[in-house]
Amino acid sequence: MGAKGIVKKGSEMKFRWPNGAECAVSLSFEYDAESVEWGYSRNIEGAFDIGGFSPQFGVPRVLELLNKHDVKGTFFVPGWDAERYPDSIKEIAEAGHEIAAHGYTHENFSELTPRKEKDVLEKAHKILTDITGIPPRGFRAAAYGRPISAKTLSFCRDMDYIYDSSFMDDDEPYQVKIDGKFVNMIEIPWAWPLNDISFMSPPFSSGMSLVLPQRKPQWVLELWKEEFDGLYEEVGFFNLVIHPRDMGRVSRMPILEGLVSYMKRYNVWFTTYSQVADLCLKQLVER
Amino acid sequence: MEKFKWPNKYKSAVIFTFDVDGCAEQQLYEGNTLGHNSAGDYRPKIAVPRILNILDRHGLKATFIIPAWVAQRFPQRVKEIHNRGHEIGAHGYLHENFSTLSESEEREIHNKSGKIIADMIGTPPKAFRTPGGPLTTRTMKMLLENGYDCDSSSVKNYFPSRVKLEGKEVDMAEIPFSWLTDDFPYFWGGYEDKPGPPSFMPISAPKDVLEYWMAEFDGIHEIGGLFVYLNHPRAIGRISRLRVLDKLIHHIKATPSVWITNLREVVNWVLRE
Repeated sequence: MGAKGIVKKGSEMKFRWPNGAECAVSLSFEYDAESVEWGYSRNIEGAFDIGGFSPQFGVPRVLELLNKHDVKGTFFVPGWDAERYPDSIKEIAEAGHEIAAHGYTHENFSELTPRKEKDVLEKAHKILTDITGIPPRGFRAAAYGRPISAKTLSFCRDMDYIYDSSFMDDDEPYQVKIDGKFVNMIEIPWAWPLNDISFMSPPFSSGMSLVLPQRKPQWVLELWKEEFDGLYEEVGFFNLVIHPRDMGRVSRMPILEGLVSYMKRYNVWFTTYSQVADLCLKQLVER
Repeated sequence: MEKFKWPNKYKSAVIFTFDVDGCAEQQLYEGNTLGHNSAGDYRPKIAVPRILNILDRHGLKATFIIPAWVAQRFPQRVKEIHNRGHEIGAHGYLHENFSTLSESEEREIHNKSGKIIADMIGTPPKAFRTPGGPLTTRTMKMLLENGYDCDSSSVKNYFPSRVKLEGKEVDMAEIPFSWLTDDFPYFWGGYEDKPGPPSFMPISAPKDVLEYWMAEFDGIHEIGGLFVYLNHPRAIGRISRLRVLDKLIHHIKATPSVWITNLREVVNWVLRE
């Protein structure tokens, strides 16, 4: 690993992980079946059916991998997809993974009226709860590159969510402020280099103007190892965002397994988002 | 090509500059810094302290170019940067494109942002880099009126120079940067700050970027030029990338006869009598 001491771990590591783990590792999966294309273009025919790859192939492969390595993940599921693939969602939940909210049709929340936004959040919440029997405890905004609204976090808090994962302004969890006041909610931020969409999204996906070079799987694995080394040594939190529709290809799944195997060699705590948020909230109370 | 003369027979020079843009453009164009629009806050919040630590460790002084609105959001960071001996440069109020504004609008922004920074650190900014769009003669004149002696918006040369305005040399140094030694093309990632349809930029691997930067530095040293490192804490601030910055500094330090200095020293050298 590289030169140490850029951040001085310890003094800045705000939370302590269980069993003296040096680093918490959260693997998150955006279920994103056809809801994405439906939301953007009302078209899921022809090559716009790429979302179908997620439930049909990607998600089952991800579940196999997580099961093999005894790791629990967090799946962000749009409500529209859950309605169409309830058995798939049930299977994820029954395997012990977390199901979290991700809008109804992958909406851009900054463009909805507050009333519409609340409807979308509550509707998606009810769909996921009815399918799994467990109410979701957190949310991540869909529609990349778009902000959430000034109301989103309050609405999430009203539904007793304990975390949000829509911000990109930190490397580790922190307590959410609403209207300038701390609330019982944790932000679990994400970053572009730790999101597979940055390296392997197809050119005509989702009606967005996403044109990025395709990177060799091994190249991505090396970049993620570099990211992990730095975060493990100097921050203590590693949060990966995976899209089974993109990562679930036969040539790419080996790098996800490669990364999990690599991280398992270190003193890490593989955890779900709500476990992280619960622990952070508990430690905030104890302070 | 006439050779540029550096002091003390140094062969080349290196300076470090950091554009702390924060969420200024998201605020300017969308009035929303939440969710995916929050990435800019990574710079002042997380990345700036890390960069200050690296600079301290190497005994370097740098210039931090900050839109005044961002300075207002993070006044303690700005004071910390100043107190640790680095220069604060101006970058508009909300990272405006001055070429789209009227003369009075632009003047208002220079006055306001200069005053905000002066109130914060006790001294008005003297260095400027244009936030977006071309740099105009109008801007240059306003900078001179406001006591600036340095612009760093040009990308046309490897050598600093005294600015000529309407054929006359003025008391202003031009410190040209380059996109090649800017982290933006390599590490920005994801959605671009501008409004409009989402546009994504490819992300490079840190160790590849080290090779680009070292090659460029070696070449600039060879011709005796000025290596201006321009980075955005939002992008370079990740640990994996700061390790590359650290390695680059080691590489520069291991090269003999390099004047490892800061923008202010180069400005003084260019404007010396």
